[in-house]
Amino acid sequence: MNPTILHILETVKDPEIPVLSLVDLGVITEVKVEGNTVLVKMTPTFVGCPAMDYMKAEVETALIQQGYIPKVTITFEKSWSSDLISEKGKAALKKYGLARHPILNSLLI
Amino acid sequence: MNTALKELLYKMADDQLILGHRNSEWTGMGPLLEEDIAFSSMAQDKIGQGLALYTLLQTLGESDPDTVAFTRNANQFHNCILVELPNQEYDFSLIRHFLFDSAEALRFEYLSHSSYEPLAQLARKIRGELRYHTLHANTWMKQLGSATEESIARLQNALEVALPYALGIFEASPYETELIDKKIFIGEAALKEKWVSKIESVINQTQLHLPDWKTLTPVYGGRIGKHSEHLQPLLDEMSEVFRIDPAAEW
Repeated sequence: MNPTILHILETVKDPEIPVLSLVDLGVITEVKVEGNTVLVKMTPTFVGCPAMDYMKAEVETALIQQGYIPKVTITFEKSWSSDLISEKGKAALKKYGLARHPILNSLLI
Repeated sequence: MNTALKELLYKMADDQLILGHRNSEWTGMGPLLEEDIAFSSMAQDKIGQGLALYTLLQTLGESDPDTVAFTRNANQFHNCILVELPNQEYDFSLIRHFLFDSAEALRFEYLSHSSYEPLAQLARKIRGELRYHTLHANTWMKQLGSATEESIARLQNALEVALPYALGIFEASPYETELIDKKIFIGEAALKEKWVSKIESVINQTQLHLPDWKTLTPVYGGRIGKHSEHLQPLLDEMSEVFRIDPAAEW
């Protein structure tokens, strides 16, 4: 990811877990920079996530404030799972007192 | 293709929205706190899944999700009758949850291979969520289906009441052949067959018993807008706030 854009997006936090940026949460699935325009793809942690529109607006605001034109789309092309949380994100969650849910795949067949 | 696809999306979205609303009626009323939270959480999932399906419909030229969800009357809804029935006691809600979510989990598993890519992508996400719903349902079915004389008798009775309605989930669409030929969906008949084996495999781990499938008469009509008397009051309640000022900015 473009380091300048990454730096901007790292300032946008999960509204429910303010120690975790959207980048570390793993919901930013693609970023493309075309001149002044930044195309961002985001995916919800779960389909009914009520904070999605809020997070999209926060990403747009952060980019506009730095002089970019954001084009943010919400897509299911890449599905979120807790595997997408970065190492930095996992450490931040642990410090905050939250555990990742266990992997239940063997139970869920 | 669009007509067939829209019919499929509408019935699935309506199922999710209506059962989501019924699940939400357990909020604050659950028999124990964990169940109160479980049904509330599943309500949020289902309404969210409904929203995502209505959003897909919007990309195909339908009205926006709020208009579609809150301004139609009962005869314009395509949900199966099973999901609109009142919650009744916990035994009925659990049985319905088990019968319906077992079908949904399989439905979205198959749809994750749909030739219509936006639906396949969404289905891959939804199927992961439904695994938790069926895990929840199966856990309680096994627990209460082998617990006390009363719990077994209540579940058995609820099962017998719900089964004809559950078969209504699989009411054939006028576009089955087209959906199957174009590899959008495997079709209701094939889905029902997989569902029957799934239901049998869980019930066989309990002290409940299934009646002979051949003796059951499916309750159809929901998919073509012919509903029970229970749907319109649900819609009136669900859309009450929206209808006060449909143009309000929230």
